[in-house]
Amino acid sequence: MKVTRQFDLVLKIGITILTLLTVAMIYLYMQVDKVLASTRQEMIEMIINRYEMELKNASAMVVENTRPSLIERLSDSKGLRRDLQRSLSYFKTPEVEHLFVIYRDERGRLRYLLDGEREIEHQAMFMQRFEPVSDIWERTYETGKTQLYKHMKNGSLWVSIAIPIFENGRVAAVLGGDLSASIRTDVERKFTQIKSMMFTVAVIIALMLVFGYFQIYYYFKGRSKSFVDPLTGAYNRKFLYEVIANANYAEYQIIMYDVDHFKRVNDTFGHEVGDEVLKMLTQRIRKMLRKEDHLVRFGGEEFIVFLHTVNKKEATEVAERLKKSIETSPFVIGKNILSITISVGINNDAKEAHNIDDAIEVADEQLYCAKNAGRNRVCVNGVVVS
Amino acid sequence: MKKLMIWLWLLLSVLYSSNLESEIDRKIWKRIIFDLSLKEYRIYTIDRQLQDILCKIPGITLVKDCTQATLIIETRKTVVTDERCLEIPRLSNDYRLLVKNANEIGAFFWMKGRPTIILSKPRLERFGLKVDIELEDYLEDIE
Repeated sequence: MKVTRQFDLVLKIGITILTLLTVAMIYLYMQVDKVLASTRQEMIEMIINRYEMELKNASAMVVENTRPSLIERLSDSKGLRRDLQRSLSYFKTPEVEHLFVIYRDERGRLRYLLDGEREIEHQAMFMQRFEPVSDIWERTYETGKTQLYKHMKNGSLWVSIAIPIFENGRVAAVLGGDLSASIRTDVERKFTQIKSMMFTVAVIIALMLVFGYFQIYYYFKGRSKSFVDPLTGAYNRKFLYEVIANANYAEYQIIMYDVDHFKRVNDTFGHEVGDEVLKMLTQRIRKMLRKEDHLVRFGGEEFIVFLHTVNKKEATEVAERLKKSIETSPFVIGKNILSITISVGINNDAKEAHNIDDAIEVADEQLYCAKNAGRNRVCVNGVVVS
Repeated sequence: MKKLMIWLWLLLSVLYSSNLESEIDRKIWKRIIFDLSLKEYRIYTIDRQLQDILCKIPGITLVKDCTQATLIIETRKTVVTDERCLEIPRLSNDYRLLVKNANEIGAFFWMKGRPTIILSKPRLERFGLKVDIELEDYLEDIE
């Protein structure tokens, strides 16, 4: 079945393309997801870096105003503390939730020196104990480097930044800044929006692909049905002209047959019996053909077998076998027993024809030859062979 | 719809974080109170929120009269001014109150999103109270 194989091929190509598109979409979605995740991480790092730089400016401001000794000057001057706290408060934004300076006393306890909080009731007092929830403050003292801590269980805080304040080459205090969890929420919200948008696009494309699958499936299913004669199950003229005509029909031997005196069957037994004869006839003929041969109902009681062979002798043998089989096995339809015969014409030189119509015409001429010879005959090249 | 989801998520986060904070509050108050060498744990407070937290702690009796209490817990807004109760040790949830009031033996409060416990060593001694060894780290020399 070369022709149907071509159909299968087209169907397979269509499904393969859609499958590749689906796989590509999934891959693309995963890649975009990865890129989004890394972009989100980069964005978070960028935000933290930006605030870190701002807090470094604040720490420089503290250093500048408390030379030569930060602790002594702050302990001695309440006014300086007040001024510096006011200056620190200018560095506060909705994102920088807390901004303060702490130091480690001789007993190793951390205490507030300055607090940028504007509301007095929330402002830490000078030398008030600072309760750490991470070790970044100690590490800042030990390493002399800025440290970060991401709060996991704290509802309002996101990241704490500890910046060392140096005095005579050693860490004298630490400037601390707490970034609000609202930054993280904002970032998450933006990325959630992008992700949900991506997801929506992916779903739409997925739906389109599914739709595509159905389209291909139903197109080929419908197309296959449209090639079949509903009464007999043989192929119809549409198949002949759309499929066989476009294939290399020269590879086939064309055997055309016609039910002898079919009008008489209809007139005597009725059209229902006539239809049943055609159905049974088609079933019998198909059983005697191979997969690569095609049986086409050309019209009324006229059928064409496209025998896939270049062997002329084989075509004649098959035609004789078909004729003999029909002739020797009566058709039992209900209570009626009908003796049916067929006349057969063969075109065993289809490659000489200009087109399918020409090839069929030659077979048709041979069919007339058989009929004219008294019916129930096989005729090829104008010669009655049986 | 998307906005609604975001608001719902924010609301749940806030609820979750406030529940978490209240749970930490309950645990810390429980720890501080039972680590004080009180003979009985009869507590007087007029702060509703604190009452809600303390009533969930087994072993604590909330009293309605401060004179019957062995410990008073006050807040900035609910300072107990009854003169008959001046000699009863007090805890508070405010550092400034702790510094100002000589009867305050300690405080537990949230400062910059961090739970903070401070106990006054000299004041505890004045009331003849001791604290568990694990709370000693929170002792401060606040006169």
